[in-house]
Amino acid sequence: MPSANDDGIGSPLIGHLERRKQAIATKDWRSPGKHLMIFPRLPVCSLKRLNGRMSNRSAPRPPSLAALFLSFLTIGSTSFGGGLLGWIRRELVERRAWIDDTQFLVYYGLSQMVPGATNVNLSVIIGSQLRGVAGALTAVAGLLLVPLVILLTLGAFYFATSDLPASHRINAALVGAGAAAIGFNIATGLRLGQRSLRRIGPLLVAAAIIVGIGVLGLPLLEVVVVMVPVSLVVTLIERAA
Amino acid sequence: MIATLLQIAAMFSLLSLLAFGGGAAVLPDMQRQAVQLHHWITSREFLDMFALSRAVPPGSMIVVLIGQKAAGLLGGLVALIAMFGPSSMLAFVVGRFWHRAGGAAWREALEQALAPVSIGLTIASGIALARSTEHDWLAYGVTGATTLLLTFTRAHPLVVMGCGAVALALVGV
Repeated sequence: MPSANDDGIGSPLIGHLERRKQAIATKDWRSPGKHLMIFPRLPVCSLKRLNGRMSNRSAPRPPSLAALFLSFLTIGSTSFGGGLLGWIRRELVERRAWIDDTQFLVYYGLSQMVPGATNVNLSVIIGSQLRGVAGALTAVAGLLLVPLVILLTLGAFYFATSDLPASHRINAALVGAGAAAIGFNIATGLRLGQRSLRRIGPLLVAAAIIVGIGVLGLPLLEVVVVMVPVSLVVTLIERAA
Repeated sequence: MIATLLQIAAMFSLLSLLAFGGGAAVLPDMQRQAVQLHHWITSREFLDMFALSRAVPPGSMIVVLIGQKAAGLLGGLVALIAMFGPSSMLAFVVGRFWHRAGGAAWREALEQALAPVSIGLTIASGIALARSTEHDWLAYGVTGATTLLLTFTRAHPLVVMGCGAVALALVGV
């Protein structure tokens, strides 16, 4: 993967360690190194974790607004027929490496808890994480521009003729693309699962949600409200064990 | 005209905050208000608009067509901003709050706890979507094949989706 994350390991960590050494040397407890003295566990935890946390707080080189706009423009233009979630992960995690899978999953979880279109919420959170308010606006504008223009054009046509422009075959093609797009989203979930669901507890949580919503047809909100605390308990038990 | 725009803004910004789990949650109420309360569109038009907007990302884009019918181009834009604005602001605040929490212990635990929930939701909503739309055996075949191809190979999603579209256009319906 590109170097965005590699940059994140070295410099901030070394910076922290330097400051910590300084703090020890000068006994200046109000220095930036102070929190490391209170939580001395931090420097010895695994590099991978630390890397995630560092890039979480401040990505070493956040993308320019133009690059952010282009990426979301691509996402909005390719996701006709569906599969938006898959496209967002493919572009931002796999191709650009602006966020990692951990961040992607957290932001997606947060997006589900907030009302409104999940993928728009996700774009807002990712955009704001990368570039603040301007980033959030840029991400949503990029995401919506092409779909909006196309829909307004379709709408104008529809209102003029008062008939659906889609013929029989176009409709069938849309159904086919939609069916494939659903597969794309499921595949995105399965790929994430292959990487993150390595222990039995989290695996059972994910399975319960899949059965609850996918098979039994329970309402999403209720399932989320119940399963987030359950998952939290599972996490805490696993940590204690 | 101004009155209609204000009505559009009020109606969709309220629905925006009620749309838990996505826009589908408020579709019935959207239809009731647009058709019976404001008489902007007919029931038939609502269904046509739904069909037209369904394939357009990111969902809920039907509001653009309703606004456009009620008050022209400006109406469509007002509807879009009203539908995505309030929920986006809420998402922004939640995201900032999360960001500010830094390396807090509760955040790290919640981060770990959210991962299996999010993975479950991704797969579950795909399955739920397949079951709620008119999925015949052919469509299920396309969904299943796409799932396998994109999970286990490096195939490009656009190519796979194109194949799905062509397959159903040639064989299906």
